[in-house]
Amino acid sequence: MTTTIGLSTRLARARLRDARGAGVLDGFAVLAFAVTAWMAFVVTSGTWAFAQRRVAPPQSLAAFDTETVTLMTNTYVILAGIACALLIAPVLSLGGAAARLGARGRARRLAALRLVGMTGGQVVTMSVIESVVQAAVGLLVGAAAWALSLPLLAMLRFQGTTFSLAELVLPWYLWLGVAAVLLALAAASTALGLSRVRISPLGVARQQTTPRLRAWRVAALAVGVVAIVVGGRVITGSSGALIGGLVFVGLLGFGIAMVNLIAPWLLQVLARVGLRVGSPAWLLGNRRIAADPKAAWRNVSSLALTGAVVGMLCVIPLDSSVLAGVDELNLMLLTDIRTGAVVTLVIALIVGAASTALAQCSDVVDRADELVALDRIGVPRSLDAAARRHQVMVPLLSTLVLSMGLGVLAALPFTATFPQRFALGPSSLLVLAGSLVGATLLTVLAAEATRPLRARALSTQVRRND
Amino acid sequence: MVEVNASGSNGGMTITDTAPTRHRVDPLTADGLVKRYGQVVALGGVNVHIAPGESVAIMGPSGSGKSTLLHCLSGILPPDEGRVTLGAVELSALSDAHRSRLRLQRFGFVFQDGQLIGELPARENVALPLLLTGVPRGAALRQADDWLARLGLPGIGGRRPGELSGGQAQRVAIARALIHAPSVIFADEPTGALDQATGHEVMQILRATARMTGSTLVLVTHDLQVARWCERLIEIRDALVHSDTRTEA
Repeated sequence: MTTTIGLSTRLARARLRDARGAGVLDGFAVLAFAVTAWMAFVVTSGTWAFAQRRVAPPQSLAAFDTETVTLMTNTYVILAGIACALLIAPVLSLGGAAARLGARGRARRLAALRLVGMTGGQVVTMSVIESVVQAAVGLLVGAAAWALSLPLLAMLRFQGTTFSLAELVLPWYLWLGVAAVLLALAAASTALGLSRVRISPLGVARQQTTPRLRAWRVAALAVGVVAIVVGGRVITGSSGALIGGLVFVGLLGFGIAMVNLIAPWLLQVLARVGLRVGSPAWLLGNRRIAADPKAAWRNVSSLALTGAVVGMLCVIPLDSSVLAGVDELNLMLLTDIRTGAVVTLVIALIVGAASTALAQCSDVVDRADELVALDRIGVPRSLDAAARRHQVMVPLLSTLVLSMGLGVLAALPFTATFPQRFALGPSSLLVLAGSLVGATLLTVLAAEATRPLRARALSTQVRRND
Repeated sequence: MVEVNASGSNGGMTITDTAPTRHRVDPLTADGLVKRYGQVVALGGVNVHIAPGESVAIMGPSGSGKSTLLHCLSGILPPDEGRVTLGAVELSALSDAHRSRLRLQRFGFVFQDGQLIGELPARENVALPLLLTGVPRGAALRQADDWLARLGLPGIGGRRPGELSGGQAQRVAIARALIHAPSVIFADEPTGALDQATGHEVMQILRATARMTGSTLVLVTHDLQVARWCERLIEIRDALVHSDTRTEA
């Protein structure tokens, strides 16, 4: 074990000193872990602040009676829980992708180590150690970013007043808990990622054949829609807001699971339909999606949240004319939901862009040999960039449309008590359009961020053993 | 008429001269080629003239410069000194983008491990050079199917490279290299990743199809048995042409 740790450390140092940029992937992994940690701390921090307010309600709620305040603060904890549920999965997924990126980048070296006699177990242990070290560095960077962003978070206004720093700062045990989860995730993701490649002394082989996804997933979607409709009736018919809220959280979780089930299959179908028309870049982009629709979905799954939030915003009234008949308490709740939704949206966009950039960078590194070979046979260098844009945009746009529709469905039961059952004012449309444009731009930029890596792969003139 | 009967793992096959329209085939010439990698001289002033339709094997020990010569001849690498011409076209004077276009339109490449695109089924891998030059999808795929059938691989067009054996993948790569009837086929250790029997079969196909299309064949190998499939053998040593002889092929 000591030997493995020592070798791991020496190799990591050598890689970081490598003038050809072998440390670039390590840098990307650390950066992704840092974003993961930053977002995880922000989300936990916000939820913790609402939990604090449940125990010690802010002065701004003093005008209301105790029962109302209790109901109100409980509702906010539930809403914060919903935001957590929406964000934790993609944040953890980003952390997992960072761990896998590190593992892929190390693949060839791992095969060489197997050749000189290291066992499969030692190789996996070494990779896990390296990932945990990267995650730890990312964790510290992310924690620093979180600490620096606390004043910004404190400017957010909920329950009629802004947060205090004391409300937002996590207790040490919660901080350590988040850190432990992130480090454990890094270790588990690396071990899992390596189980998907076979590292033999003669090289690394990816298990390529991905079985085609089957249509039974459509039946699951039908069941899910029925469950959401029935659940919606339970919410509107329930007397207690707490029970209604819990049912809603459950439904939301079920809805997310359902989307994860159906979305890869839908992407596969869309990609296969798209094969019949278009340019070679379109063909290649669609083939890449169809070959591994689950991976395509993973790249954009966090943006499904964006779509769902935007969909919900469309039916929650945002304009003062619509809110005219709403009492003070509900007005506060609606305003805060709107603020919370926008915050969730911003976090989802950041996580989505980071996920896409990371996945695309990983993909460029994985395909370096293929890129060089295609360049040699004279394939225009623009083909890969164009195929990559298609590969990202097809899942992105289809995901946003689907998730926005589901977001509208999920929010409809809440609007039943509003003076106007359905409202789509100018500010709603602005949020809708802004989110779509923002998500698209960020994702395209994330895909384009691979250009330097691709150029480096193509420009490296290594003298072959000729 | 060229006819080849090969008995491989996929049974016998017959290649006839019913190939698509041939490109104009021009002589390929290198004059005073010099290529350096930092302080290392990979080519130290190489002169080679390859006639249209000729088959040439380039051999040499590790580090002698044989792959570098192939890369310079094919326009993958620009030489530091000297020039490469294909007919009236001076490759070494073209921009990177122009050299890429020339490679796509007039050259075909076969690499050691096929280098097929993993997500594309065999027929789309073969059709890629045609699709990239604007041939309609239906016509390109039909030609790809024809080539796969010619090379003894009927019915495997829908399989992805990961589902093919090494020999099958290399034949798919040969079909991709030949589908646009190139002037020159460049093969870099085309049998390096194959067992002897499959390598023999692949060379037989490569040689026969090059003859059929009238293409020039330039291959790099370290295996004398493979080199003997060509009419001419150039040996590179210490970055220079050491010998240039005719074989009995």
